[in-house]
Order: sequence, then structure tokens, then C-alpha cells
Amino acid sequence: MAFVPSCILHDAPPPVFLASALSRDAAIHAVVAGWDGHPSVPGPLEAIEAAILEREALMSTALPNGIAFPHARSALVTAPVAAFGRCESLVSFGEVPVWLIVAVATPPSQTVEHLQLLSWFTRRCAEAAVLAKLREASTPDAFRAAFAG
Amino acid sequence: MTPVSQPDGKQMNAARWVPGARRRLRISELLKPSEKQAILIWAGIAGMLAALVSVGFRRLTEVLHAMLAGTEGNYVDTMARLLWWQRIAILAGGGLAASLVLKLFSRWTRRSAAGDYMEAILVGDGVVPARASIARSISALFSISSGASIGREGPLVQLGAMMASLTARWRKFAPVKCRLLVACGAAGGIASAYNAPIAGALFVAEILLGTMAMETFGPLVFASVISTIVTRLWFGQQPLYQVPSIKLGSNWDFWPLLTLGITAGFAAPLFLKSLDLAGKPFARIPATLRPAVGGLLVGGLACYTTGICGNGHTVVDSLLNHRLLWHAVLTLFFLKWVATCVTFGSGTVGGVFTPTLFLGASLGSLTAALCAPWWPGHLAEETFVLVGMGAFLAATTHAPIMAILMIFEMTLDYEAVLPLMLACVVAHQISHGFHPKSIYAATLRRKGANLFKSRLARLRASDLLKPDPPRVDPSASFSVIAQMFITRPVTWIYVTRLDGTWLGGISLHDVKSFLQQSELASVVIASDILRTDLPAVTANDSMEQALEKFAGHEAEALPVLTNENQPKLTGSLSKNDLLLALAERQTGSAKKQ
Repeated sequence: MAFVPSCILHDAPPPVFLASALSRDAAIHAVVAGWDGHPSVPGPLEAIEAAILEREALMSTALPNGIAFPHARSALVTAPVAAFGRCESLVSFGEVPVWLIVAVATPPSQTVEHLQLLSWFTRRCAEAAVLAKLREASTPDAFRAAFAG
Repeated sequence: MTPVSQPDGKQMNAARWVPGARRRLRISELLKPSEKQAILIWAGIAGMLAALVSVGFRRLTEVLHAMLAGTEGNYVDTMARLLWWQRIAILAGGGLAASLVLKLFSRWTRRSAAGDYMEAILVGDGVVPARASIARSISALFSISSGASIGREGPLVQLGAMMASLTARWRKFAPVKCRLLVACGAAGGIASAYNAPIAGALFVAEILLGTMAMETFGPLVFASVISTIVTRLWFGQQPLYQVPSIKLGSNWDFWPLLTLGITAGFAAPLFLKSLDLAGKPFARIPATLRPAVGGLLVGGLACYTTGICGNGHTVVDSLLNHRLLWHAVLTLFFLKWVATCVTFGSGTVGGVFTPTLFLGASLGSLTAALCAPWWPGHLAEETFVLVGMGAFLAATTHAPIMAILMIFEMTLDYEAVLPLMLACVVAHQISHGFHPKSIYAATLRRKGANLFKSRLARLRASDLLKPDPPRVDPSASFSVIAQMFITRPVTWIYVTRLDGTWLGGISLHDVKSFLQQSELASVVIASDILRTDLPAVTANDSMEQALEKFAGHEAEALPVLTNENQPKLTGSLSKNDLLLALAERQTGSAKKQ
């Protein structure tokens, strides 16, 4: 796999571990909140969150293996960014119960980068070994390391 | 899984993936022709169809003529075997049958705004009405089979153009492309009639379109070549006229041929003028009876000599092979002149192209007879006949390049080209000075060529748009988008709301590398990857404004939007169609100047 978003993984905020049962919107809110103060996210987080929820309303981004990829292209970010959340209690994304949330936001002009990022994350999340490590990771570094392989 | 509504109303499973999408796209990209290549393919089909209808029509005329005359063979010989009253009866009866056909189908032939291929190419939207064309061709079938002094190339070209028009309408081509395909059908018809592919393409380019722009000339050539190849399957590869090899003795031999060119240059305006006036004596006769009266008159002339019957091919062949004496040629020259004017003036459906060749050939033969006693050179009569045909054709059609190449193709003798070039250009220049309008000028004027040119100047993007562009809803899944890129030869898919409100476009370039990613099918939808930087053409944009938008972008087609605050997608504008329209307009303004 040629594309590895090392910088994006490195700059990603620490993953959010959501212990209590939450709604989909609340879970996304908690994950997106991790971008607060991120150098590539100068815009108001509420607007980015709204863009992600608006996109989610068009079609759920949850895969059958319980991982959701809420994402949006937004002018409020200056470079592609990612944020993660692991839910101890499953969160309902439509009909799919989700245990892992991978949020992605990219500037509107970076369509290819947006697809690269989503493609990379979805492919990593299709590997059983990666998923096992993500389930067990207890620290931000272990979480990032699980993704990076 | 969420069902996604498609533009055609079908429901598609959002997450259903297209197996091997990227591989299939590569194959699809390799196999699918670009727009220019597609036009060539359709031009080839138009040429093939033109050849098939041409072969069919020629066979029909032969069969019908054999039935009428009682024997098979060329028109001159079969008519000569008949008694005088039989000749009159066949020609008058053929004319009557031809006019009855026109009368019977008058509601089609009168109603059609674009009655023939010239009109369809010049003024219409490339629509050649099928029923009217068939009715006119049946009428021509009776006239031609009865031995009328008219060429069969008229209906051959008409039928070729009609088939092309039907094909273009079936494929829902934009008007500009429709017109080009009709022109290809016409070129195919000419090429098939004369076994002359170069002349077929040049006839349409030089006389009808008035442009040699590669956008139009390439498809015309292709259609002509395919038509010729298909025709040769039935009629063989030999040229239309078998001519003994031409030899020019010295450079002095060009002088008598130059004289022939000058003579043709003076004679052609007289012929054109007589054609102009030929309809006047028939004006008092009811339209239904005119072709019958024309047939009756030509029948009267045929009592004296049957050499005037038919399009004149047999006599030209005889002239090329020294089988006629000069006084017989002189008689034929004048009688054929009269017979052609009478037939044309009576409104008989057909062409005057081959009769023109007859008159040119006779003029050449007579010039040879005049030069023979005092010219010291050794110029053969067939050289004069060939050069005379070309010169007279150039002088009447005002298309010297087409004339030169047509005679060359009909004889395949390169030695003839140099004197042909000389005589054709001289004859054309002289004739043009006296009679600036060509043999087709009256038809073109009647069919409003200028009207089209002025309409072309006012052409807007909405006039050229293609409906039903590739479109998806913002919620269309990645698999739907991939499927659409595979099945349609496009580089952009447009994204609109269900009511057509414009949102943006998806570039194949952006998504190409991700088509093998089945995981994206459930994660990515159209709104995630649409781009808003794709320039859009507004429906009332002029062609220049549209061209400017193309100049800043690599897209082969741009979306056409309504002129509203929230613009709606109405279609797409192809760069190729725009360039075709601009090329035609360029020609129009050049002609005006």
C-alpha cells in the first residue's frame, strides 16, 4: 500500500474512549471535539460537526463490521485530518451497531486526498489483526500504532 | 443498505459493488472511442447504408427498365430496339407514373419542411424526412427507368442522406452532428454512384458545406471510402469509364486543351441559364402533368436518337472509345441539352450531374474534331472527352477541385490530371464571371442557405446541447458512480438534486485510482467527491462564451445550466459539436465576405 497517512495519524488527537451508551450524534460530537486546537482545524468545530452530520444523514457511513467513517469535505479545515473514538457500548448508526468511529475531514479542493484517506482507513479496518489491536489498545500511541501497522 | 434513486427512476442497491471495476474501466476506456472516433464510426455506418440503398436502387431501376423496354441492357440500346411510339409511350408513361407518385404522397412531400438532403444539411436540423424521401425516390425510379434524361445520382444521394438522418435521429445526436452525418450519407451516395470516394467527399465539402475543416472532412472521407468499398462488392473495382491510356505528346498539346477549357467556360453559363429558364414553359401546365409532358417531349426527341435517353453513361463511354462521328456528336450535344432542360424543367426528380458530364464529353469530342485537321500534335480524342467532362463539370458546379478528382477517379488515369487541372480551373473562372451561381445555387437559395448561416450566427449553447447527460443524485453510492463511468464514455458525471438543481461534477480523474476499493462503496457517495470548479455553460451563452469556458478546462463536454439563481441542469455541450458549429459559421462568414 503506497499511501500511508503517517502525518495525519501523528497529528490526530488522542482517541476518545466512550464508556457510556451514546446516540450517534453525541458520539460524533465527542470524536470531533478532539480537533479542538488542531493546527489544521481553524474553523468552528460546530460547523464541521454539522457538515459531518449532514453527510451522515444522506447515507450512513457504517460498515457491517461495526466501524463507521463519518466524514465531510469542509472549507473549515486546511489539511486532511482524522479523529478516532472507541465505544465500549455499541452506538447505533442506523441499523448497524458501531464500536469504532473514524472521523475524517478534508478541504473541498482535496477530493483525491479525501478518497485516499477513506480508502486507507477502510482497508486497514478490513484486516482482522488490525481490528484486534484496535480493540485492545489502551493508550493513544498503541491506538495509532495499531493503525500504522 | 440504503436504496439510491437513479435518474431513470430505478432503484439500485447502494452498496452493491461492481466486481473488477477498475479493470473493467480500463477495458472500457480502451475499447470506447472518443467523440471524434465515434463520429468516424457513425460516418462509416452512414457510408455503408448509403452504399446499400444505392445498390438496391440501381438494381431496381435496371429491373424496372428491363420490364418496360422488354430487354435488358443500357438505355440507349434497349430504347433503340423499340418502335417510335413505344419510346414515346414509355417515357411519357414513366413521367406520368412519377408525377402520380408525387401526387399520391403529396401530403408527405409538401409537408416536409426539410424536403431533401441539401436542405437538411444547410437549413434544417439534419432531419431528412423518410416518407417524403422514399416517395421522391419512387417517383425518380419511374422517371429514370423509363429513360428520362436525368441522372440517378439525385435519388441515390437523397436515400443515402435519409438513412444517415434516420441513424442520427435514432442515436439522438445534436443537430450539428445530425447535419454532419447527413452530409456523410450524401457523400457516401455520390461515392457509390460514381465509384469515386474522393469526389464524393469533395462534392459535399466543396458544394454543400463549403469547408475543408478536418472536423467535417475526415468523416466525409471515411463515409465515402466505406461506401465505395461496399459498392465494389456488387459492381467490381473497375472505374466507371474504361478509357484507353492517355498520352500527352509535348507541352504544345496543352493549348488545344486550354481552348477546350475556355469553350466549356463560355458554354456552361448558357447551360445554367437554360436550366434556370427551363421551368417557365411548364408553369402553365398542372404540376401533376408536368413530368408526363416532359417525358412526352423527350420521347419525341428519342424518336430521332435514343442517345439522349438515360443519364448519358453509354454515350460518354462511346465517346471515350471513338465510336461516334462528329456530326452524330453534334446532334447528341444539342438534343441532350434540350432533353435535360425539358426533364429538369418539368420537375422530374433526379440529378443533372451525369447529363452535365455527357455535355462536357460531347464538347470535348467536338473540340477534338475541330482541332484534328490543323493541330500538328497527336492528341487523342479521349483526352479531349475527359478534359471536356471535367471542365464542363467544374464550370457548372463551380467546384473545380471536385471536378478534377472526380474525372481522375472515374478513369484512374493520372496522365489526365495535369490537363484536367488546367481546363477545370480556366473553365470555372470564366463561367463564374458570367454566371456566379452554380448548378446547385438555385436549389441552395431556395432552401435558404443564407437563412441557416444567419441562424448559425445567432446560435446559443441551448441549440447545441445534448439532453440526458450522465447524472446522479448527491446520495448516489460510489458503486453507482463506478458503474456509470464504466458503461458511459464520459470523463465527468454531473450531480444534481432530484429536481435537477445543479450541485457539481465528479471527475473520472479523481476516482479512477479507487475503483477497485469495494470498501468505499458503503462509505463514499456522490456528494463526498463532487467538484464545484467544473465550469458550466449557461443555456443562452453564445458560442464564443462557451468556447472560452472550454479553453480553461480539459473536459470534452460541459454541463449546460438554466439561467436562474439556482441553476438546473438541462444537458451537456460537447466540445466537438461546438467546434463543428464554429467551423460552419466560419465558412458562412467567409462566403459572405
